[in-house]
Amino acid sequence: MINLGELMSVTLAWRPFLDPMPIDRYWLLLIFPLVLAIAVVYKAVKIPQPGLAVMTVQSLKLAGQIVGVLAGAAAVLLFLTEIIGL
Amino acid sequence: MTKSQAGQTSEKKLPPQPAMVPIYLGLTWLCPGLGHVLMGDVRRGLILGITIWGLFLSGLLIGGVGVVDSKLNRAWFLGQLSNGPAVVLSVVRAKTMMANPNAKVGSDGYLGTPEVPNDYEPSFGRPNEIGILYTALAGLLNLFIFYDVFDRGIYGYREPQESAEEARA
Repeated sequence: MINLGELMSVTLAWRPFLDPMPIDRYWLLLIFPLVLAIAVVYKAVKIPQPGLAVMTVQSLKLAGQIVGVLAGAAAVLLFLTEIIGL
Repeated sequence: MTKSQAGQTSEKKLPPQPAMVPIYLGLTWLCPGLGHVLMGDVRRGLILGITIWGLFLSGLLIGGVGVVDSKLNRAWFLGQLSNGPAVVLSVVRAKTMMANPNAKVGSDGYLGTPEVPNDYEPSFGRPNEIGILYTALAGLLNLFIFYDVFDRGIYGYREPQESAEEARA
């Protein structure tokens, strides 16, 4: 559970862009904005006339596919290293 | 599906502008998305600009300005190099924010000491890794945009059918 007092003391002392963010416990979640940005840029270049609706659907679809492939690769590697023990 | 949903709205097809390509590429380097905007493709330029700037600023917010460092993270800086603001920031950081700008990489003075700290806090571990990854990827995606600006500047905006026919030929 998040301790609000601790969180406030950390955030009040934090200087944006000068101090690193305390993200050590949540770093894996930051894969989602990264993947979404890649998907948006790719689709913005590829789609002939990028409208809001088509960009949203296509970008989310591509981001989902990238996350799916990453999760699959992670599962295969986990299986090979932890279960089979290569 | 309506025309706007399919992304096929009323924007005019732009002619090739080969003479202007170097200028568009330079402006894309300085400010991602600006090349497309000046070519007349405002919507695409805004989408690309907001995304690349968002990714770059997110990286700086996560890892701090220390993630853009041409000496400490030389290989990653090659990726960040495609993004003009990263290069500007790297120079500004080294010239104005370091307590001892002439310190050698790896020495205590480079990252700042408690007695003589830099104006920024260096990041380590996950924030450093994620910050570097975000800013380097913003640069590499800008490289992808360079190619698009070059292609559209040389050949103009092609209809999808034309592109498909060329690909088959």
